[in-house]
Amino acid sequence: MIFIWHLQMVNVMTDLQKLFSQRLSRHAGQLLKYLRLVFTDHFVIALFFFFGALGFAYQNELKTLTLGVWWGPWLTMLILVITLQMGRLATLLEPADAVFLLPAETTLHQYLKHARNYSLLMASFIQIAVGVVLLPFLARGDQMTLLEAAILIMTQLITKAAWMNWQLQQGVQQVKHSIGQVRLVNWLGAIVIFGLSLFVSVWVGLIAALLVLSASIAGLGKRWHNGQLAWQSLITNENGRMMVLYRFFNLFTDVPQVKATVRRRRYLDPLWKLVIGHSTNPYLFLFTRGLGRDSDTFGLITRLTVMGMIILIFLTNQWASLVVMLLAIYLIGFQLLPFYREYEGKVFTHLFPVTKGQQLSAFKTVLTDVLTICAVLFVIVDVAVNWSWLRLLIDVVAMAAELIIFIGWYSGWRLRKS
Amino acid sequence: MGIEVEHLVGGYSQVPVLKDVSFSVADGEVVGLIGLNGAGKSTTINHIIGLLTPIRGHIQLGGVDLKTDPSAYKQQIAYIPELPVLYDELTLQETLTLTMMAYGLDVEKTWIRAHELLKTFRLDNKLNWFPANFSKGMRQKVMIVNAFMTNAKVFIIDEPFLGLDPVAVHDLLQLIEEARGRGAAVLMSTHVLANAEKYCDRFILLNQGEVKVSGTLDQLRAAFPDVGDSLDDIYLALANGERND
Repeated sequence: MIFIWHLQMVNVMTDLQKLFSQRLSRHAGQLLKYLRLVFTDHFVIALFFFFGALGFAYQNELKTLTLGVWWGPWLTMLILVITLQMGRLATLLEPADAVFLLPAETTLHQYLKHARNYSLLMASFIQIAVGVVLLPFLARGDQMTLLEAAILIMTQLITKAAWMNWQLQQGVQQVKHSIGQVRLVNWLGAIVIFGLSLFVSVWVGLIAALLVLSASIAGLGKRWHNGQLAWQSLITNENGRMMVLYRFFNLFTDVPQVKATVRRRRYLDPLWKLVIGHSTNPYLFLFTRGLGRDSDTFGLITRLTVMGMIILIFLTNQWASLVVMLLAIYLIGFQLLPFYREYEGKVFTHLFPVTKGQQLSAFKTVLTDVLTICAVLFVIVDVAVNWSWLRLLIDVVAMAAELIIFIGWYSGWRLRKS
Repeated sequence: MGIEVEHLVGGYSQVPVLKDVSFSVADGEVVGLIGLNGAGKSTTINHIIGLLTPIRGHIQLGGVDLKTDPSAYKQQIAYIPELPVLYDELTLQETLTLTMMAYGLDVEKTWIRAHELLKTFRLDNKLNWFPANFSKGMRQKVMIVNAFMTNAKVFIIDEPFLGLDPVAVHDLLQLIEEARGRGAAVLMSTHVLANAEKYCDRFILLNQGEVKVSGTLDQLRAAFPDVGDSLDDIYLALANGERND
């Protein structure tokens, strides 16, 4: 009996050792799937131009920079301290693990070490990338030699390793520090270390970082073999980390894990009263609330509108402005169309004694109101920046024509088609 | 009039789940729809509320066919789904308002009734809550209030007791009795046989998409003479019979 039990234990342990690599390959596959959707051709081209312009501007700024400006070290410190906070511990633990892996708790240490190493590797890429971009500035603004700059980046990596250990320590000890405490140590510690590097000597900073790292290793080692893990916080942290990723991907594509949060937005109530009036069409009631409170759609409309307005502020050419306005209205309207089917999944939508015609007319009313508000905002910004009666007239006529075509004809055609 | 189901053949695809199901629920009658998992209870209900289209056969509510007058057909139904379904963006108050608008109810009068029900189910102080804040039991209660504040002629209730606390179960049964008293036709599917036995006038036992037997408890006892007196015994006999098939 004991023999068999022993065999099973060995089995579990080897499986657990493979567990992290299994999880990692699954995680990588998932990331890859989403990254392919994010980095589409258009987006890559846009990014290429964006970073090209950014690099060009950086280069130009550097040329005009006086050697060893007083704010050089301060800016460097700010950038390094912020960069240091990037890259969290990725344990790849799942909620079900708290149930299924609980019996194997003490053997999970190896798993967590793998997780720590992987997370540190990923975080190091970010640190090094920022460090490399910073190099020319370090040379001119801070007047560092290449050796000093390399030691500074090394200090950054060592501190990151210590921070990663400390994060892991939060997961294996039962005493949980508050988020405030953790943040304080993360930021203040970084400020002290880089302060030493930049205002005293890079060597002193390096020694401080090494001391912190050894302290973190010792701290981890002491708690390592106590056994118990802080499951709850490990899993919440991992979920939080994944949600940040999912939310980012959700900007580009539909991520099923991201459930739109609902906000009350009481300040929109008067607007709805205005839209609904005395209508008894239940869909009007449903669509207005839905659009106003569903953070996805609401966020989309506001983002596109604000972006359009900002672009209009900087455009002086009348025809360029007009094209931007027409395009922005079309984009907003087009993104709103799928909302027509938002409630098809709810059984009560089919039970209501309401006709399809009522549903469509309610949707068009809402579409008209939203797009009109956006159009009015665009026209106001456009003529406020470049006032002329003619411009106002052209804007109003063009917007009105677009709304009539889009709502009166295009939307109905689109919705019937799908 | 109530619910009339005649020779219903239907299901989710071309393969019929229901094979020639016929039964009726008269006005002022509570009928229990009983059967093992997968017997076809939910499919039957989905056909009655109009989510599925029959392959063959007819369903009439109060003498109205879904095909000829969908609006009048749906107007009569109050439905409580097996799993609570709510609009995430609507508060409790707005959910009920929406139902009133959809069914064209007198808003003021209905709210008086709704407030009584909300008080009964201890939801009266949660009018501004969103569904995300409700527990499973509370959601179920919202569905109950939503259904029973209407003066529907037909109540379709799919497994209503799971997740409800005993007080709420008691209150729900009382509401069903009241609806029957008003002359509504109530069709209720459930596995909680003790409640079914006490509150249903008649039973329909579905098995593999067919009505195995239907009638009052006495009639069922007569159909399964040797198995025992309670609905439980008859149900178990049915289950064992299926296992031996």
